[in-house]
Amino acid sequence: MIAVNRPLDAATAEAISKLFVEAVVAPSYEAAAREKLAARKNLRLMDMSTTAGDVYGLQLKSVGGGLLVQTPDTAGAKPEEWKCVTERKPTEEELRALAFAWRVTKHVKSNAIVFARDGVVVGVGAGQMSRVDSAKLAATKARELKHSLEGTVVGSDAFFPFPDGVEEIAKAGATAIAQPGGSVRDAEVIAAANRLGLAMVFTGVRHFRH
Amino acid sequence: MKKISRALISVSDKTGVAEFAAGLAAQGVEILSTGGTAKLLRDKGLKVRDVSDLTGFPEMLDGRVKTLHPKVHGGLLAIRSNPQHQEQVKKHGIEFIDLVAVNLYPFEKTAGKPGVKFEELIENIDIGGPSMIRSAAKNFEDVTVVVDAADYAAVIEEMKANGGCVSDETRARLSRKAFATTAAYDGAISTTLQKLADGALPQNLHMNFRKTMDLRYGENPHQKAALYLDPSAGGRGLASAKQRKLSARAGR
Repeated sequence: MIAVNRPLDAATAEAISKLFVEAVVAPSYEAAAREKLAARKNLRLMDMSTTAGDVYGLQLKSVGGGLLVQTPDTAGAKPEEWKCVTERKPTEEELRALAFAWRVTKHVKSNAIVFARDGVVVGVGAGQMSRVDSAKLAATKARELKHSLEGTVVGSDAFFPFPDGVEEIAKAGATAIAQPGGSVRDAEVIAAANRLGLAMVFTGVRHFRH
Repeated sequence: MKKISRALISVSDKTGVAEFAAGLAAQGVEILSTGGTAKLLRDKGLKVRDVSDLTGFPEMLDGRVKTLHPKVHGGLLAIRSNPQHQEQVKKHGIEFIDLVAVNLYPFEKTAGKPGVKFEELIENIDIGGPSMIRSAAKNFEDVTVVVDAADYAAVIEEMKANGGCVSDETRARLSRKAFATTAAYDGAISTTLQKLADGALPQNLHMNFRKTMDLRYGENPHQKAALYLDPSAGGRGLASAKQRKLSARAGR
């Protein structure tokens, strides 16, 4: 499935038509793009012209005999408010990549670890019980797809409870991390990042999503 | 502040209603009532005027039509500060009703009975009650509407403290509660009838959940959250679980 956040043009349709894709969702399609994709059998094109809020602007999760109700997570990425906690500061390129990785991380099921470059997701670890397992999963999936992790950056939706997650990320080849901070072991985690030459920022915002 | 001079009391669940009516009567409020409620109040020695006396129309059709009358709804809906309303009310001999205490035929309870007959279900769809509740709730600037026995004591206390008056704030709060009650009631009727016809997945899903607890936060500290209970779950399930002990570590 491919989701596009702007009108889908002919060149993109051409590229998509070469892939095995079952569904495309976009705000709109240029006529040539629609024509190109209409020729493909078993490909569903979805128009999603507006972004809808959740029911009453709330998110509902059913539990036995009731509901858990919450306001949506509307916190945006604010790199200007991030705090660098390591000896090495992120480079401009790393910071751009971190901002992108952090935006993606928000939408990944917890525990979320996202390896990315500026504008490109390289590996995603989602839905694991432990953060270090998410890191391992993300790296494994990236390698399976022959994506290099050298020089990537990582977004983590919540703090690292132990240094092992950071060590796993460094071992995979990433050079910078964005994470909320707030663990009782932050000092150990920061020490590990310094030892491994990583740049790490605390976002001060958590993005759990279950 | 609005002074209560006349009250209409007609309840299916009679819990606490005699004490409430006595409290009103003690402050000089005229009590209007119907059927079983009127009988109960008279048995307790209270002076009660029948709604049929107010309307000049008998209760009829097995009680299906008792309060559905312009003299009831006019008395509830007339805007006291509106000169035209005043004039029309006078012309038609309508008397103001300042407080309504109504609770409804127990539709959900009836629907939950094993092997309940369809006819019994239909007879437990209250029509007059929700109509009065909605008229009173719409005109909350002039009328106090009480749909929950848990509010009886507070209303009497407030009247005692304020020379027989109920505050704007209380009337507004009770009005919101009244609309929530009739919405849930109609939702239950709609869902039950659709279930009977369509099976498990009704065409329109009307759900009623009651907030039982505000939570510290949602999935993240910047999200507000609360726990809601499905009243039809009968106190079963995780949502009704009791917390026996607070964690020694009060969060992170």
